[in-house]
Amino acid sequence: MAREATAGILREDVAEAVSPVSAFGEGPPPPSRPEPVISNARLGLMMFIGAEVMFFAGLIGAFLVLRLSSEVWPPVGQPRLPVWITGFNTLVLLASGVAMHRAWLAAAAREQVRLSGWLLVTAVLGAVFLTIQGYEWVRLIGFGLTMRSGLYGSTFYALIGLHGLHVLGALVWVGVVWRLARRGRYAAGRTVGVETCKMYWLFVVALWPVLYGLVYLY
Amino acid sequence: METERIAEAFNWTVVFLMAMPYLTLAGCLGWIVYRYTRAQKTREDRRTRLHIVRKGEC
Repeated sequence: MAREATAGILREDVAEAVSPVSAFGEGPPPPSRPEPVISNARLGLMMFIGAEVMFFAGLIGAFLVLRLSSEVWPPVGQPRLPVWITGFNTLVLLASGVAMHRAWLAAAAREQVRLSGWLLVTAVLGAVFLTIQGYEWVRLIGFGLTMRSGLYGSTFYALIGLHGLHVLGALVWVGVVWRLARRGRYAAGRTVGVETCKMYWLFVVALWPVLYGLVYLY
Repeated sequence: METERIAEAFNWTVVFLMAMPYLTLAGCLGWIVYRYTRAQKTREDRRTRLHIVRKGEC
């Protein structure tokens, strides 16, 4: 009895993994190509993220030349950057990364309500991050730090601004995935859409502490 | 002194920029190897479960 029950449970699992014909030996298995270990979407996104890393490496390189060659930083007459409020903002963005990971776990467990809930939390935290960044930028511009106020201003806005644009793009992506999740797009266990979104979101989240340490603290 | 500082800044930046492509490539390859190993393990588990199901039918 117990053996039959175990076999019944396992049969459900196996039915997802392989086709019924090939699994239970009813006729010859159809000629099918094995599923790739890493999907094209994940591989393509990985390459894109690699290109993005190199893009930011170039910007960081430009910043490093200026920072290391200057005796006084920030240059005389330029405002100091808001370290504490941006530190809090860093925590907000890191929390959004955790929320995105929870969303992916919910997608893997096929829990649609939890998936859309965590995606919403991620989007809200990302929006809070961008709002605080925007508020700080307005204040810094008021203090005279602009793109044209010198190398300090131009490198600051190039590095932090481009990261902000990436967060904005990722936020739009999260919004699209959230909407699709609400429509039940990922109910059948196809989680590639959620996972690629998670990969990109975690990339922008992981990049931020590096930029924060370099631009605000160093 | 000022020239030395600028030269040092350029040197460190060049080292950083030279290292980044290799670090990026290593990171990507590490991720692919990790995913591949994990997927292989999952497939092995599925095969084992299939074997148990077939035994249960007999």
